[in-house]
Amino acid sequence: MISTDFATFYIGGMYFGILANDVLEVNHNLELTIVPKSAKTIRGIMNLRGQIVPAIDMYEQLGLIPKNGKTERISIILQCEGHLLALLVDDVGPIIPLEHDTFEAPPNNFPMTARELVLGVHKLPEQLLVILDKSGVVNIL
Amino acid sequence: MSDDDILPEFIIEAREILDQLDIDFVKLEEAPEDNKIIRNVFRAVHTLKGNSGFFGFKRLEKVCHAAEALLGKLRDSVIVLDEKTTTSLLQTLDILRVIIEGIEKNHTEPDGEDSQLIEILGLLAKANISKNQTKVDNSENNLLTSIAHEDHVILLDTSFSESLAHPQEITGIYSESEHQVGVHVQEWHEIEPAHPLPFEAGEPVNKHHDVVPPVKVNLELLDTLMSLVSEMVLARNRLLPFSEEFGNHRLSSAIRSIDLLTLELQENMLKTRMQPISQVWSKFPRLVRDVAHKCNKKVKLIQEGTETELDRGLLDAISDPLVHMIRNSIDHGLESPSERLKQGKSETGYVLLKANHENGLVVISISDDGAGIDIDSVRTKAVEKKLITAQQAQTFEESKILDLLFTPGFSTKETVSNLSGRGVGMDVVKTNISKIGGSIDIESLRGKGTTIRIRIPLTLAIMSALFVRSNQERFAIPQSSILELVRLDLSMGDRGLEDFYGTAVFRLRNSLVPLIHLHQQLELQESHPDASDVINIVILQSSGVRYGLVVDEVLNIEEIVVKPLGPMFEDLNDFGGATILGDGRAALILDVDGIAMESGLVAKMQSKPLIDQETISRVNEEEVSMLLFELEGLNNLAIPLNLVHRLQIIRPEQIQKNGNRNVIQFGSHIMELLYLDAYVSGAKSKKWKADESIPVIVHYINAIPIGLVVSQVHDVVNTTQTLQETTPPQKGLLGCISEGNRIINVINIDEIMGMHRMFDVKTQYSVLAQLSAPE
Repeated sequence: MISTDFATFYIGGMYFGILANDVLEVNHNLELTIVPKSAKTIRGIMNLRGQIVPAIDMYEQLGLIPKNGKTERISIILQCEGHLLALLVDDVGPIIPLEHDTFEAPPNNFPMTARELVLGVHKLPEQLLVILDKSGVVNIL
Repeated sequence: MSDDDILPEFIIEAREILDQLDIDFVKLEEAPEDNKIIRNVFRAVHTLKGNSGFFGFKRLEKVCHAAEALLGKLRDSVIVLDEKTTTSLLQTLDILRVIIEGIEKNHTEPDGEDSQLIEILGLLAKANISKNQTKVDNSENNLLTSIAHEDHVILLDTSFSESLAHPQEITGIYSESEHQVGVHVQEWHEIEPAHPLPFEAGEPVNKHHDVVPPVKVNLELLDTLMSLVSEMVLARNRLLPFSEEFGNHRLSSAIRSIDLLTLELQENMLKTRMQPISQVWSKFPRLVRDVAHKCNKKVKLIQEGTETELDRGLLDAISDPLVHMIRNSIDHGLESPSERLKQGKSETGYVLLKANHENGLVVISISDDGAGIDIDSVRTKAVEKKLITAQQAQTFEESKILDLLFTPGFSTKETVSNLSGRGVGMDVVKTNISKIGGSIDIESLRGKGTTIRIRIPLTLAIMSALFVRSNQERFAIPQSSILELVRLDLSMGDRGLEDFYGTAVFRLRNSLVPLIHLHQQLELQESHPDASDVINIVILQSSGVRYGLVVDEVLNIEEIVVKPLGPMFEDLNDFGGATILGDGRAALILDVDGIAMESGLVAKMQSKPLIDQETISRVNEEEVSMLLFELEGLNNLAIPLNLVHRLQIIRPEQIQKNGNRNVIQFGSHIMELLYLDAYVSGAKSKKWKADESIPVIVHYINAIPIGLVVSQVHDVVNTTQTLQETTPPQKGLLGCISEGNRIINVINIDEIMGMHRMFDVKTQYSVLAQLSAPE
């Protein structure tokens, strides 16, 4: 079995993973500039060493309700079709190699909007790791 | 442009040609039958000959000509390339190189005699031999080639080719061969050069003396470098505050070095992106020829300032607009040849393309000597299209009418041609030009021609921007769009914002400027709950409309590096990009055109363009200046300033009598004094004290001055208000104007003068009557 590396992170207490290869870097405390009238899922823009990077509000994106307000200070920078984008998350976890046998596609009654975003779930011993689709994150915008 | 300016280019090109020829000849030797290479070589030599001719380099031209003749024969397969021919040709190249080096050094051709070389080349060209006629002897490694030419036979040693590497020897050889055709090789080496070439040992030619051949750099690499330098500039900006914060001398000096170096780096980097405008223009002669052909017109294109440099990105951006405008000039502007003859013009029309630098901007103009724009037809069309009203059409100045050509959907050409006149055009041109921070204006003289001028910044990458604040957010506005900044202080009595048909407006001198509140436009929360008395307005010129942007605070002007926002914000028209501030934060750049569009202002202006009659009269009414003065018992009197020649304060003793008239000496004139209080309703007759200065308004009637005596002169007011006639009419008053909270009475000078004359006659008459009256 070939294992794949996943970068893991937390949003609103949930555990998410994304292909580690897609992650360029993780940044703390990047200053955010709001972009008025932009989509709700875009929190604003950030300066990543001179590049303008849109910051994705993952709460909005995933339809999660923040318990203690949105205090995400960590951005996961992804490279997508030549552009950079940042996912705003609460915390990051380790990079974990996973094999396909723990993977399961989303159930049939999974909401359609989330289905574009969520590839499926890895059943880890302690908890479930929701695997996000990078292209879904981009497309939904 | 003097020859000296383009000489370096000539030299660079000549060098390139020679280098390529070196390679090609070598290739040709390996594949003598390769016609493609022969054609290339022929073309290259031909180009060099042409260029030399242009500069009047006779020696160069002659040598090239001889080589070209030989190459022509090769190309046409009249002769076959053999080693001898190749050698001679390579030798020719060496000679050419020596001449070019001489030109580079002294800007003139070095002296020298090439007739031998030319003769050899000529002989080779005439030698109609085929391969099997060439006698080759390889056994002695002493290849002898015989060339049959009439009854001469020239024998050449191939070791000759080695000696050819030294041109000075060759000249000698050739000079000898002039007299002796058919000598043995051995003798040749003993002959001293008859005409030693310049620049021998001891006088080495510095190949990089004047002209350094340019290095070709991948464009992407250049763009990457450019953006790295931009980053560097921003990083430097972040570094600068530390210098003061820490007050460490060594740190400060290091930072200062970085600062200076960055500046220099930036300047030089910008230079690398500069390209001559000829890069875009070079395709225009062909374009002009094609368009002229299609329109059945005779056109000559003249280009001036082809060496003017501007940023590469801008070059791309202006290409299409220029093409469009040139087409317009030929299709719409220039008349047909027969029409031109009728007008007394030459059959051939001219289109002049001109570029130059002006105050840090590049100015490009496209002129034609055609029919010019029919202003009246533009007026009619504009009224038809409801862009302006009939009344406006009459009152607008020509330049304002011409500006209408840039309005979307405007085209005066009756028939739509396949070249231009589709009704899209000048507006698109204008939009494209303003996208790169440029402006465009048009000037036309009926029967004489039209000139369109575009002004664009030198570079796109870095621009000057004004930072403003709205609701704690900073935004940058490109400075090229800013007309002026207005600060209204309501507590100081400035008139505030007004509502006009649902649009907030502001009176800027004599016109109404529609306003957009930035926080509303961007759906930000209002940050001024305490409704401050100060209103900051940035007056902006967008391509569609002029408007004022209300912001919370006007900050500073800074050079910014424009960054694209990326595909996620594509549908946001309010922003033109982003930039990075000194503190490392990103800030948005406002798109002046986009905001006008988004706000619906442009649509509003276009669908109801100042349509309301009242709007027109208010917006376009000329401002009138009035001089305020006072008569005894009447405070707010006014006379239109254009009726006032000057103000004069006179002493009572200056007043003299002329019959029953009071007069004073005024220059060379005798000026009659007219006491206004006698002619205006409500005024009391003022008793002047003996030592009181008398203010006089000097007014001219038919070149004769008349002094209007008033009690006191106040200031000048500018008013746009219309005069309201008073009912019933008051003596000596034309009507009144309400200006602010006061009412100004305007005197009726004509009526007063009429009364005055009547009065004069009456007094004279009464005197006569008295005289003739019976005792």
